[in-house]
Amino acid sequence: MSMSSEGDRVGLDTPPPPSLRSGAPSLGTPGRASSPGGLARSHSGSGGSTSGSPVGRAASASERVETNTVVDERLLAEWCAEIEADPTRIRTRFPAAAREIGRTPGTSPEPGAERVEDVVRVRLLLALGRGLADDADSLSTELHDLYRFGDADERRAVLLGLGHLEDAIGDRAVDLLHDAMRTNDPRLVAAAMGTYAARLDPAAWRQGVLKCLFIGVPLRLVAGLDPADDPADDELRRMVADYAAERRAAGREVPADALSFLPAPTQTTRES
Amino acid sequence: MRIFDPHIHMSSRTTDDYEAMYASGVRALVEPAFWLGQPRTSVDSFVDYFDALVGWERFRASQFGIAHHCTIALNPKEANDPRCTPVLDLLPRYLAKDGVVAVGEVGFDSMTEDEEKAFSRQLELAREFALPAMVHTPHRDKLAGTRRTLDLVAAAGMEPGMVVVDHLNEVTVDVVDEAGAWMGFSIYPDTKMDPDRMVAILQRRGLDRVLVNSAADWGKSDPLRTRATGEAMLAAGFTEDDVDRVLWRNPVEFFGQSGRLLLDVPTADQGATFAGNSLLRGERG
Ligand SMILES: [Zn+2]
Repeated sequence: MSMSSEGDRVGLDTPPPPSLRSGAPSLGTPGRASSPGGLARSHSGSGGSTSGSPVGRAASASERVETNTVVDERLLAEWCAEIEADPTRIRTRFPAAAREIGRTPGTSPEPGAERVEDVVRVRLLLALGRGLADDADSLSTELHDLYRFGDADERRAVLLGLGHLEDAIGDRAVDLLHDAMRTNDPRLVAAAMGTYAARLDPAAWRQGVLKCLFIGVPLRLVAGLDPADDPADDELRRMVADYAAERRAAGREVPADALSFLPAPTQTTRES
Repeated sequence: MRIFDPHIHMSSRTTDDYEAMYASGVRALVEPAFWLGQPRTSVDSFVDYFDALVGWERFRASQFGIAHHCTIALNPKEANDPRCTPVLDLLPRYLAKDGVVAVGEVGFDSMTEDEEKAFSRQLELAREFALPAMVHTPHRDKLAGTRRTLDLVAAAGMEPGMVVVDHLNEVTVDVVDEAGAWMGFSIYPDTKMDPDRMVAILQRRGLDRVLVNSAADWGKSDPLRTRATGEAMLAAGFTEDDVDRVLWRNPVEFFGQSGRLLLDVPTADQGATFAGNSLLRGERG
């Protein structure tokens, strides 16, 4: 795929961010940046493979149409240091990070796709966290502004970063999760249901899970949701069962994700 | 035929339009920030609108295999309303973003002093952010307005090659051509320009620095007029390569000057994946 040939040169030897847990993309899996059949290929790294496709030819026609699939680790480290020293610098660095430091080609509508620019921006957020280590309110304000004035990519990165800044900000950014879940952009909803979503109240969290089912966010992207392991949340189970029943009544397929969430007996009951 | 529509207001169009556009060859577009048909009364309305241009609309387009870009600006009409002008201070937040490929639409509506102030300020911003500018010509007093526009561009020290003057017609094209700026033509039913008149202009002055757009919006307009123009060109004896130059390579060259194009969208064969994707079935009411 797009990044495989250059993946080795991504600066993986530098220590990864302290707490890039599952759910957040990691620089360590460059080959997975493109989902099967979904994303465009990089024209910068594999011009030959796109010839014949209209968009691919166009892209190579202009030298300035470029994406940096390879992360510029040196520049990233420089920007992190800069932000740590002067946290307000993140206001101009954050939006420019994808084109200046690294970006997975394409604008994919797919939720949960691992993207280089997400990792880069999360690293900038971690630097911001260090720069404002003693000032949780300022950190929260800065995060809120980055989200408020961010495009969809920047907002997704803020949401992905919240789980890593949790110890510093506590509950201060829970309202950003609510905002993201009011959108119908599955990439934002998926990012909002990461580890930080544990701070949502149970009703909002259940609504988030249900929304994922509705808009096609795979439930594997919801942090802390393990259907097999979580018999406790009967309310969520009931909501999903009702959702499945409504789909069946309309003669529509029930998403596999919903089925896997329902215990086998419930399914049989509903179908009989 | 691959098409880059350099001026279309998708926020006011339906998903059927996206589908039809993809089917007729549109793979990329630019949505300029403009008036909404109903005046805004606060800066917050602009912020929400800009958010949609760099967020939701880009996402919506991506589902149909179309690369969405936008331009950001305070439009001339609303530059006359003191409740709206403070948005000028927020523009830098947006002009730094990927996919924001120009400052626009700027220019004149009623040729007032306030319009001129906002116009000049935004040309400064374009230079500061190394972005092209998209300038529209006024609906009334067109030729005088176009001349004044070109004077301001020169006074701001903008390279003419970094400016497109849009909605041109037979009367306004030459003065823009002579100034060395890019020429935008909106193929818009009943008004502005039609495919055959467009072809006549191309025959007369060639393909250099010409952008052809549908300018489709909430008015009676047609997002497939770009395709119709390509076909009219072929019928008139232009080659496939000529059509490709006007409908694709020219806009890529002009907006490529921003360094912010996001053209690596899913290719044609991958579009099939999109069509089969349940995301497109309307659950997102
Ligand atoms: Zn317009």
